[in-house]
Amino acid sequence: MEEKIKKELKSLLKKCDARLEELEAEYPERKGFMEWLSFSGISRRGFLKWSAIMSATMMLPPVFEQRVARAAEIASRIPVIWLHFAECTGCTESLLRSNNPGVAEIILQYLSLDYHDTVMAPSGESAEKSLKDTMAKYKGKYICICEGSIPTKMDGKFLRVGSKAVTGLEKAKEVTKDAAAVISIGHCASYGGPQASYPNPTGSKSINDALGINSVIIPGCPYNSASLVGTILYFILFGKIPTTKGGRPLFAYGKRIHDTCPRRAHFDAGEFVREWGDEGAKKGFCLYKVGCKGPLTYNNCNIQGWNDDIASPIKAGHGCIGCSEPAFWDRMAPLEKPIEARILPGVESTADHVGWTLIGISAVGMGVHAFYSYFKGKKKGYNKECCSEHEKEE
Amino acid sequence: MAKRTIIDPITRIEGHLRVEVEVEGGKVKEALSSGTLFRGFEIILKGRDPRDAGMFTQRICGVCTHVHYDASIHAVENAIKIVPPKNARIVRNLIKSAQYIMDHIVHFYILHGLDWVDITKVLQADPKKAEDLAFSVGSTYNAGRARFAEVKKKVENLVKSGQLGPFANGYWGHGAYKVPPEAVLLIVSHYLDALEVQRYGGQIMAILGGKEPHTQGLVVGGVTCVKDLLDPKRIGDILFRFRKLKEFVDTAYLPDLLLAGQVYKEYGLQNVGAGHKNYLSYGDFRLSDDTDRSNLFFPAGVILNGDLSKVHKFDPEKITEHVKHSWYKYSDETKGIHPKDGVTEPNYTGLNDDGSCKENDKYSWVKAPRYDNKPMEVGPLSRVLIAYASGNKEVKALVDYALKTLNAPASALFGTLGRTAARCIETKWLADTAEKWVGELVANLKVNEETFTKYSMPKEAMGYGLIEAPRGGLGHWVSIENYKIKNYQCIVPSTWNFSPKDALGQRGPCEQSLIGNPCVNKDQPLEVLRTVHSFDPCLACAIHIVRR
Amino acid sequence: MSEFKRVYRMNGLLRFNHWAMFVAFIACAVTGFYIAHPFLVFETGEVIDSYVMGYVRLIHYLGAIVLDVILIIWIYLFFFGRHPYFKFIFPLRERGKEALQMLKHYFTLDMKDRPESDEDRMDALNAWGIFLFIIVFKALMLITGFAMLSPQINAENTAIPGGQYVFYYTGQIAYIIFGNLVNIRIAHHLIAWLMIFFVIIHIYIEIWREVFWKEGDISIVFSGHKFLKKK
Repeated sequence: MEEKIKKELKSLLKKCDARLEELEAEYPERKGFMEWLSFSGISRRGFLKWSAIMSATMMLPPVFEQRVARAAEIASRIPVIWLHFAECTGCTESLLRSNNPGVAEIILQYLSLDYHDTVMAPSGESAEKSLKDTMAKYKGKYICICEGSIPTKMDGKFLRVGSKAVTGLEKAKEVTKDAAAVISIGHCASYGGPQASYPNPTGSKSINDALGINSVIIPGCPYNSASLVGTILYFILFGKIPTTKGGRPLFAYGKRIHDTCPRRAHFDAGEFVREWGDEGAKKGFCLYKVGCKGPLTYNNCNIQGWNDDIASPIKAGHGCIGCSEPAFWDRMAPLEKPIEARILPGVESTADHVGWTLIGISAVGMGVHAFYSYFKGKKKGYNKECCSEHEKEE
Repeated sequence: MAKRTIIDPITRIEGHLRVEVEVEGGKVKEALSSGTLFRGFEIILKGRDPRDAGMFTQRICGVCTHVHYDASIHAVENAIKIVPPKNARIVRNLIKSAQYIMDHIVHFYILHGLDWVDITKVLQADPKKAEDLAFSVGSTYNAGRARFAEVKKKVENLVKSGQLGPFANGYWGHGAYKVPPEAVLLIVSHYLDALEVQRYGGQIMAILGGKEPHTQGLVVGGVTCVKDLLDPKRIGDILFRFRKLKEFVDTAYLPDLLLAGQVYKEYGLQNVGAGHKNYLSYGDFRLSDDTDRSNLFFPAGVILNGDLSKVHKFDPEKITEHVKHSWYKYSDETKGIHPKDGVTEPNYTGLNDDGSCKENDKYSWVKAPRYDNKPMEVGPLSRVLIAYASGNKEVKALVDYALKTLNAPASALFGTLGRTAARCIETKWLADTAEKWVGELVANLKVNEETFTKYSMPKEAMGYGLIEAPRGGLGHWVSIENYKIKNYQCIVPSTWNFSPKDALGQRGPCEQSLIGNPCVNKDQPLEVLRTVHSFDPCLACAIHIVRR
Repeated sequence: MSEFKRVYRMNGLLRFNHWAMFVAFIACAVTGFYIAHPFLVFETGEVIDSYVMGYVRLIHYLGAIVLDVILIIWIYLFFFGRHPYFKFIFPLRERGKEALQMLKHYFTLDMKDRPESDEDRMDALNAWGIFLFIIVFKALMLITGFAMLSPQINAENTAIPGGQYVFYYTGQIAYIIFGNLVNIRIAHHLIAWLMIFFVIIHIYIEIWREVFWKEGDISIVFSGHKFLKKK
């Protein structure tokens, strides 16, 4: 068994090394990566430490740390095109706020982010030129990161971008066509986002649905920046990222919020917050009764916290709203009530309501039937009749 | 008709904005601003639980992420007529002030800064002289010749590598860049520090609100973070981070702004980008626990035609919205409708064949809100001017200090430079106050740990939440029927600022400010971008609007 | 006086099966509702002092194991059992008439409408009910339950080698039927209500039969026998 694992690891490492070498040959070296880091207050030592943390985040053994460091250096050379569609820029903000791992932001800032609406210097036609240059120069080599969903109703004219006023759909098709990898980030790009919730007036669709491609999705509203960094590094190391069935990276979305929750002990103990700000809330009890959707949500908020690992919604006393699950706006609503309070479409009431109605119907039905049987039986002389019938036959 | 220059996408903003300008003789003659995305939040909100509205509306915008949440919660609280406890009020103020400080820092250094400074000039700068300059103006945050030499070397490497990333194809070398090389080095160095520092703001919001962007810690009736409030370590975390932010504002943001302001003083003196000079502020940051919004940190008011001697009283009933030039349909498009009973159907009429906007027809997804049928500018400049005109001591001191440093009259505040300066003054004002609020919170927690007001949801109710977002006045109107949302409307800052023309033919504030704006090179409309960016556009906010 | 024939309806194993299900179902229903709506809230402040939800969930799982094992045995017997009884419960069209007749009897109360039933056969409607409850409902509960549990099951904490795969792939069937975890959760809850509904009807009908048929139907489940009136 152990032999086998060792052998597998060896072949994996070999593959990984070969890929790194290939990439290093493919992308021209960008000088001064380490200087960027040092000037941002990160030493070589700190960088290696970060590599170790990142390896652990991606659930890789320590032997990969050096390779993660190498991958990070390559990452600084891969051109990235970051597209915005129907979105709120929260995902970009999330990127700006990432601090732990500290280098993450530096890499992403200097990931050779060749086109990014929110941080780039040029505007208008010059910006479009940046996009065209990158696409032509690195055809088939750039990573395309998509933020936001694509409106499809009215031929996609709910979103028109650029001086030629192309629709979002056309732009997305054009850019993703030649990308080495497409990563859809945030709930909008992954699943359609709030604008795609009922009744979806603009016909918004996720990147994968709208374009018919199979990109890696990093859902969440917004996503956790560590997941994006991890995904990019993973992609560089292995060329392919293991995903769950829905296409989410396994390392970040393999576990439920509920199973990694810091308040889980209170759940098992049966200690619940009953109302905001009550004694339970002060003591940090479980938020199940005030609508935590942790048991239904796969994400890594509790493992890799938000904003420098300083907090997570559950830590701050508000339950999970399930923002990394498809269509959570509709399925998990009302967000501050347990899932049992969900209004079922079609019947317009909750599951318990349906249940009690069923019980009510059965009670009434049984009562009516019992009376009916009693009176009708009496009228017909039920018992007598049947007995007499038998007697007659005899 | 002269050929219009189309600037789309406008970068370094939130959302999708297009600006079209007609340039004649180096000046802008005609300008159109158009939101190019429609999402339809208000249709989606219909029939949902009013308590969920905050979460939804928050997703209107990820940059001013918290304020929509706050406005929505206020609106629902107003509808069910409850007031959150004192602790909750202070916590909300703290989250919001952290948001303001962070947002303004990000805007000045990361989004707006590249309009004023030419990053390539760093190559000509002398770190030693930059150090002298930094200490002479008091911009001492992380300053020193070693640091500046490092920054310079870094930029050199970046330029040499040829892979400029986000800086590629900028308008470098444009004649309108006037900041001297040493000052550029100083500001670029602080650009990098700002990336670090702005995170502290995010962290404060995360501690109190769970995560940032899209905080999750507010509920109708209060806040949820009571456990953190009772934890001295967490309070310490918050206080420490506010101090860090304040330090950055004092020793980097304010001096840098004044430094750049001196260079671009003629912008202020000529009132470039002044526009209509109508200013509106809803007022925000409640200082007492009552419903009538009387005791506010940012005073409410209206200034008309740049007349600082009179602050008119603000009346929410006077707000109307026009759709003459927006892609929506009214039965009578010559009049505006109050958001309470607005009607809207999307009515997309398309663009010209060459992809430009139809000037005399509908051309934007943004509606045109008007106050008393006048276009109004909202934002930091409005807030600061109204506070200044109504005699707020702190603001008066700050504004006077800034004007004295720049050696300019108060009228220089109208316009592009004033907007940028007011943003900074406001940041300083808040950074100075936030610490006090933390103290107030701790003191109050000793006597009262309450963070939530109990309520029962009424079957039918109506309410509004008027707050100030970093970009200007934000209003949410909600009506509840059968415990569900019957109608939901928002008017957001960028709807005010980036509105198209109304039925009376009045341009929106941004359009008006662009008129007469210099634009030397049509292919590099840098000066136009300055004015557009000075409004801190947030288009995702503006274009969600759809009302029924 | 009419004559009665003593007929044997349920053997010991079936009766055991019935009562095991009775206990397990009640346990699952009660604990299930606690899990959905935790009504007891202990504020001891110390987690070590209470483990309410933990125990409740344990009971729920134990009950579920009993029900699931019964389900699996039934499915096995359905295919490989030699007794015709196990095949008989499958709703086939040819016995539709019989089932309808039985239904009619419940409303007309006419003995003539009552289908013939002899020693080792119950009526078709009854058999179909058993099929619905034991096979369909319980199978749905099993797959939805497994789908909800599978994230917690990994190689380390499963008793059966490869148990995690069993949970995972069984759970995937639920994903195919219901689409997503939220629907699965709601479906689990709704089917529980349907089962309760079914049980109530079942109890009522048994009592009704006892009263109106006077053939000692309730004693089947205790002694295995009932009395058929001789014709």
